[in-house]
Amino acid sequence: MIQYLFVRLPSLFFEPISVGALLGGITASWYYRKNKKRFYWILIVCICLMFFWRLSSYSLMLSTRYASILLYPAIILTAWFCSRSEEILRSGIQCVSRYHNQIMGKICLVLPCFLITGLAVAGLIKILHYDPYGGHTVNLCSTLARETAGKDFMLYAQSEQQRISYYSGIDYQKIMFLNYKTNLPLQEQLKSIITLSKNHFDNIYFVFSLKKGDPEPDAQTLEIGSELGTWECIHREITSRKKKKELILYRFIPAHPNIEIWEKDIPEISPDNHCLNGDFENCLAGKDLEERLNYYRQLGAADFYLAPERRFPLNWWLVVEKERDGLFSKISLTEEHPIAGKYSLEMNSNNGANWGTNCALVPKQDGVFSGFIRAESDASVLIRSCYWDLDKSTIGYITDYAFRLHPGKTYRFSFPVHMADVPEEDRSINFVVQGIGHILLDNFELIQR
Amino acid sequence: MVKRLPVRFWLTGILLFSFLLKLLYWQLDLTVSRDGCNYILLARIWYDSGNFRGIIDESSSFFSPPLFIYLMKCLMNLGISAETAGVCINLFLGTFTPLIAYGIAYEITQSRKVSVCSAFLTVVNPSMNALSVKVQRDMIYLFLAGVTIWLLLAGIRRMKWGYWLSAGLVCASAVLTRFEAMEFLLIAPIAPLILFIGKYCDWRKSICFAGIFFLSFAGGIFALSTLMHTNDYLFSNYERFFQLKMSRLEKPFSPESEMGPGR
Repeated sequence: MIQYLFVRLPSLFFEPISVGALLGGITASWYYRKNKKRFYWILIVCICLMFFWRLSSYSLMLSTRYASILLYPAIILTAWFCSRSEEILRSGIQCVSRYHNQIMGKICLVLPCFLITGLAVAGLIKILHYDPYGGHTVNLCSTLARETAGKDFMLYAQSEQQRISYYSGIDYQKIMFLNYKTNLPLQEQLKSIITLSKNHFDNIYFVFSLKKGDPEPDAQTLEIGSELGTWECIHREITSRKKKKELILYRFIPAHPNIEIWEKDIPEISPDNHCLNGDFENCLAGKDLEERLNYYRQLGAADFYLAPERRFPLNWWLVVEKERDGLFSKISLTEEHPIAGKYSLEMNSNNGANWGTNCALVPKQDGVFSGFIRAESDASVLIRSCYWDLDKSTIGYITDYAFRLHPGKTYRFSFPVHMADVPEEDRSINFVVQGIGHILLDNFELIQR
Repeated sequence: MVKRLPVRFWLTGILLFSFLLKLLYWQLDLTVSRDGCNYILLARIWYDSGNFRGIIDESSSFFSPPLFIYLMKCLMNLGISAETAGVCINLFLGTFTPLIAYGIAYEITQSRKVSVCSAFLTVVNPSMNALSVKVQRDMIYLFLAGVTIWLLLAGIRRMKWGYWLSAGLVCASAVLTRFEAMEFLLIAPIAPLILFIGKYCDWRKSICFAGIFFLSFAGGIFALSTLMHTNDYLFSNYERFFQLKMSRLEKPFSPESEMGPGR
């Protein structure tokens, strides 16, 4: 409350006006203390009411602008005090000393004019001062707009999200709070966001302020090696004349060493492939198919999965779950524009609730797991290598790789498989593919070295 | 000096100076404020969709009296951008706030000298100038609330029902700009009460003035909200506003209330 009363309100009114209003209020109360006119009590009561309800609820008010209506009484009291200052000074001099000369008389005469002029000059100086750094947000946002044009990105901003959205043209939904509801230091915030977001966006931008002397986050302090991506400063702006604060724009481009865009012909499956039915050319039939269809019937997913044209791959177990819209995710083989051969595995899901997991196989030494994915929409894919516990009740995950895919492009992923990661008693390994969006998969291979 | 030249001369000069100063200030600081970005977006939505429902569909948590955004939307029909519309409204109204300060000061002090000084100090007040060039609700609120105060003071001094009627209508506009203007619903009846207690007028006249104020206020709210087609939204929104404020007042000693919301 002290700060609100003695710092924020005077700042709103303009400090000389605040002093003038206070002096005017005290003087007017003294002058009119015996006044019986109607206005006296009405004004006292109303101004007090308007002032004190704002003071009592200052913690609810987000801004001192809620007290802006008090500018009128503050200015009028100041004007009244200035106009009566001659009279006040004369009576003050006469009280203090009976010696009253011509010079003092002239001073008293010009005092009101002097006070008004002084207030006006002080006000004009404050109004007309030009801040050369006032356009820092606009300048940074124009760089941001050029940077993000046509790119897949996410933006994290410490503050000023609305202004950044307005001046850069970036949709407000694509701007996240950098430090939303957390007290972590900036470096920790950045590290956490990079870890969580690196597989979801091609570019991640950060806008934050740093005070002079604060450590600036660099690749070393953020522990960003070249294998993780590149971290660089794109733009910096000083925010005030005192040059004590900077507004900085950083960009992080995640590296994806395990995935590449594939524009060449799809190679044939290697004869050394340990991934059973990795090319999805063998379909379920007979008893196996009937068992699978019964599973879908029990699940209640009959509409899609029991259609006569539906095909399912041998050696692959497709876990089907209900999605947010109440419908089931769609996983089956497709003959329409396969990546290679006759069939590709097609997965279509909105919330990643679907799995496609290979059957157990027994490689004897380390290898490389690879495959091809084509995105029919914006998609995210998570590929995990794992093993089942002996009792087949739990899964132990070994590695996982997440990728962000863009529509119309074919990708080849590959990552190493270390059998040392699998418990000795269970030398088999499974691969789980989890996808959000519409994707086609084909030619999965596990090749021993 | 004030006696030699007519007051109209001084006031005209002050208004001209006010306009030029605000125009110059706008050129020195063109950045839109944080709240201004929201208002610009909302005005665009209202303009594009053609009705207020578009704002509710876009942002169900919208929680603000709509008059300022409505005026921005109306100006956008002239082909200007939302940002320029917002600044033009505030620039125009801000230019005339010295006149309001003059009027209020004259009603209270009956002194031309004090009134002209008040008008002049209003022109050179940095906060007044800053609020005049931002796309925010403050200047339109200051203008309408100032006119309300002026009319109430004139009604008290002259004891004419016309001033109370006008004050109610203008207060309705102020309330449709900022919720805080509802304080006049508490302040306005205080004046007739004091007039009655102080025996400046009889109880019938006091009740008449207060009644005229409230009736014209209610009529103004209804007329304006019908003009803007926001009746349904406004009446449910004010209920929500009070519920929110009451819920905050119920927790006076929690750490969050010490910090204040939004900090």
